[in-house]
Amino acid sequence: MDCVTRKLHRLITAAVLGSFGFSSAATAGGQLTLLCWEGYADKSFVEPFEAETGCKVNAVYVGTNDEIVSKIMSGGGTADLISPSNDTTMRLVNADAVSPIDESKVPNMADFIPEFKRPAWDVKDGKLWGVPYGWGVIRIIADASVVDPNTDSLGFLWDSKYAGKLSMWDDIETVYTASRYLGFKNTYDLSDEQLEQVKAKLIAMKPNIRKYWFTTGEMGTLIASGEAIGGNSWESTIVQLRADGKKVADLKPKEGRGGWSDSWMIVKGSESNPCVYPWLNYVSSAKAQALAHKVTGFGYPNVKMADELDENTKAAYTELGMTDPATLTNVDWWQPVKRRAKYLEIWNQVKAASN
Amino acid sequence: MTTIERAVEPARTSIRSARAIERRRLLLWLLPPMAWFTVFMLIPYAMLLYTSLGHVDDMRFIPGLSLDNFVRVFTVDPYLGVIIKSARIGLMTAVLSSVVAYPLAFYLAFHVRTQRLKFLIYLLVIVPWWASYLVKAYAWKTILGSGGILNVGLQELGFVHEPVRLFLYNEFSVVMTLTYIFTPFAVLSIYAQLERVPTSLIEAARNLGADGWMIFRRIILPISVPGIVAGAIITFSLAFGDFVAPVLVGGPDSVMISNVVINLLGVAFDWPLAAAIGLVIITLGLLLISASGWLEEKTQTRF
Amino acid sequence: MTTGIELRNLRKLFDGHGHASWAVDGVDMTIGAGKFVTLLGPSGCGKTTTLRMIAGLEIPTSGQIFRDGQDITDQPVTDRDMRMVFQDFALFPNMTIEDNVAFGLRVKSKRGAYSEAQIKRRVAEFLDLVHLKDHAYKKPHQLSGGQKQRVSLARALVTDPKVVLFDEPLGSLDANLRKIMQLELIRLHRELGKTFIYVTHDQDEAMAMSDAIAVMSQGKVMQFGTPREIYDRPANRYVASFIGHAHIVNATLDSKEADTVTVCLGNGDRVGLRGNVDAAPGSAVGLMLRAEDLAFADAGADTIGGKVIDSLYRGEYVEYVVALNGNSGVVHVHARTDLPPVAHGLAVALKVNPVKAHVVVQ
Repeated sequence: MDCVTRKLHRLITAAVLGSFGFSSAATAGGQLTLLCWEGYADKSFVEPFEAETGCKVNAVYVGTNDEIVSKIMSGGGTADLISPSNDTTMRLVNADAVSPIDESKVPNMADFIPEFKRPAWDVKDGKLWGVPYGWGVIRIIADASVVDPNTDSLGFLWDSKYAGKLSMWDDIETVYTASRYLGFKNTYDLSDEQLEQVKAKLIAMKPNIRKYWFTTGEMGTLIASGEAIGGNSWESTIVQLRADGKKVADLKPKEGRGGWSDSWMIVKGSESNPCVYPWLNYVSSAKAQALAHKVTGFGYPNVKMADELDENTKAAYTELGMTDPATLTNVDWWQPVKRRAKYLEIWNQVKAASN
Repeated sequence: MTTIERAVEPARTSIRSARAIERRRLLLWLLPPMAWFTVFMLIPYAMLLYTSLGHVDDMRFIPGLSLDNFVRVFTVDPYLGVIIKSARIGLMTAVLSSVVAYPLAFYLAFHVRTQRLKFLIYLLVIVPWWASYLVKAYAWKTILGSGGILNVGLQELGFVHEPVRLFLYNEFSVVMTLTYIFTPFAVLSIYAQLERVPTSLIEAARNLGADGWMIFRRIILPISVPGIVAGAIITFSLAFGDFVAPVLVGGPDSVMISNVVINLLGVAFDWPLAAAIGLVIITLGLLLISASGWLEEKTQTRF
Repeated sequence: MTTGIELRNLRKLFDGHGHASWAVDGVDMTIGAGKFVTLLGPSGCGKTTTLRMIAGLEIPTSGQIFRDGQDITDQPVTDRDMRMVFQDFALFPNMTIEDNVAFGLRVKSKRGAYSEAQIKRRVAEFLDLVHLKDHAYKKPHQLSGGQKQRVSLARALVTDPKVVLFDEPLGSLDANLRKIMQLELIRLHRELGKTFIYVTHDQDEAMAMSDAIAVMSQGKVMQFGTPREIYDRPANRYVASFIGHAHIVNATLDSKEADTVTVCLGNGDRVGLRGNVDAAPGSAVGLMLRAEDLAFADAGADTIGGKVIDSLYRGEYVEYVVALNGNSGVVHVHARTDLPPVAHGLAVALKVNPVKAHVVVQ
């Protein structure tokens, strides 16, 4: 699943399904119910699992993390496993909605990149609460023929040279980006004052904005057509542009980059389901993650995963540094934002402000 | 009691029982629309109101009886501003659609003689609706973009030397796209009204010595006003509530109220505020529809 | 001296669904100034198309239209100064009655003909003429059919045209109202002295109002003459059978003299009549017999024999249906109601009014 479908799917699901909840007749015992993103239960790797273990997998797709939270909190679901992102995992742990992971039952985690073995967003009281899965870094990209590929600061985003030439993600990640540039260390817990500064900074960037992009595919088209020459995006945009022969720089700003990472978590009470651990171990394997990458294009934590990819895909994957632990330094991993409504309000104010 | 009265009595009883049956039958007929109204109107509106009066605490909805959300809609940036902006875009779309639609509707109503041609044009107006909205909006990107048909054409013809970037990613392109997409509604609405004008009216006016312009200004235009109003209301409402065009072809400040509501629902999980915005819009909508209904009634020509 | 309207070999081709047909097929007619002339015929006979060509609303395929000796065939409708009264009234629904009537004047006033005050005065005058001055500020939909037609009339007359055209103006009114409006139109014609050209399919209406009637069929004028000529001396079988419920009995021209004619019916009965006929003795002709021109009589010379096959009580008279002997035909006879009824199946003799009965050749 690429970001395009995910984003649209989130939107549609949020708008249509709403809080009506879902119901699934699935019961544990040879059956496994997943509450996850589309693409996280693709039949290309679900079918081998079912054949191998005899566990029947039911997937219920969600559009937003909020959906996962509200469904799990309301207790209306019968899900065994969920796949929230790193800005949501700890909220579920704190709410006592999930069970800790017995790492000994997930031996494939031994092959994970060290950073994903016990990441902060999955660890509390010395216990591991989630098995990291799909991940990515919010890339700062630029047309290499216009912007110096060695640019090491987000500051270029405000350079009047690029008036009307940039495109940023229509998401609160762009709020985080401005916060990082301002040097705030508490990106995910900003004070009102700091938020006002962030807002002012983002409004100051607006003259440079051609368009706030909505899907990663759109961002790719904007760069390819020359409508925009830089901004922030996901890995898939870079892969797409490079495949089309566009020289696109993957900048490493010293202020840091945002990072997202989903984790499989066990809904409290489902740890006894005999299919849960086989699934967790299976999706942590290099082979299953390679199949998943084919579907989503995301990064996956198993270091050996790249070896299972075909040559071209592997080349693109390694060029992005997805196998290199160095890439993961200076990543400002997403965290729960307590005042997300406020952040969003700031973001909407920025968008509504006239240029 | 006279004989006649006695004879009348049974007849009255049978009339009464006939009425009772009639009433019961009426109830049966009214049941489906009432059920529909309850399930699809009353309950959702009640839910909306209920939601709007509560608040969200750590992703959990807390019911309440507070008007805070409504106060926020009107006092906290950017909600009211975005509603006004959406209304402005809606209004521009409505005006432009009417201007574009009128000549076509006029041509269709008065100058197309054969039924076959009329049907063909009618079809051409409707057919774009069979295509996905997204495809049509994307088409405008390819027309208005830097490498788009319009810019390539202008450069080929030597009018400009660099692509004109003003065509896309701003309010202009949003209004253009919305106008293109919703104009058929205006065409059909105006056409429906123009078609009511009997040919003999035009012949009578010509017979009295009136030229084409005078016939249009004094007879056809006044009669078509309700059609223009109805079409404008439809296009305004559709454009006002649109969320796709600003995302696809809008600029950095082309955020419309539906985009905000979607964000509140999906990203901020602030359903109560979203519900409050929804209710404010519904109220404004009701006011608008009442006003336009009054205007349509007022300007409607009775034949 | 004006000559009014003259039509010369006027033709109009209509192209309907692949096959073209002549809606009007060679109409020649002279309509004197100040006359009330009616084009009469069944629907589809070309009368309305002829009228619309005179108005300029249809363009003739060929032929010419003259007014006062001037060729106006190509003159635009807006310049013709002929006003039309439409069957559906064609009032402007968005305007008041006053504005409707004033419309033609305001058009003219664009060319500086009238001031607004003059328009007001003149409109009031004409609304008075059609008895509608209390309705000036109403909208058309608030008026009855008869009132609407009067507005339509006032709107046509107010600009003082020389010619007024009527396209079945009373067609949508009920019978009583139609009678009243007929009298109204006759009065207006008399008072205003304008040329009225009137289209209708109602022969009673045509008879009652017109100075002259053109009976039309299939795009052609079958006869053009005064109502009396049309009624009493129809030029051909078509006019004879169309007008006044006449029955045509097949006969042979027996002999003719200066002003009398004798015809012989199929059953051998011989009838002598006044008048003349353009045919040689021995040729087949039609004998036009109307109910009011026949009476029961004793058998003898100049009577025709038949058998009563039906009777209808009409209040004013009794109408008998009589089958003539030898299958010569069927005629209707009117008899006074105070006479004893004639039994069905009874053989009777009918006396023909020699002045009114008429022989048609074609």
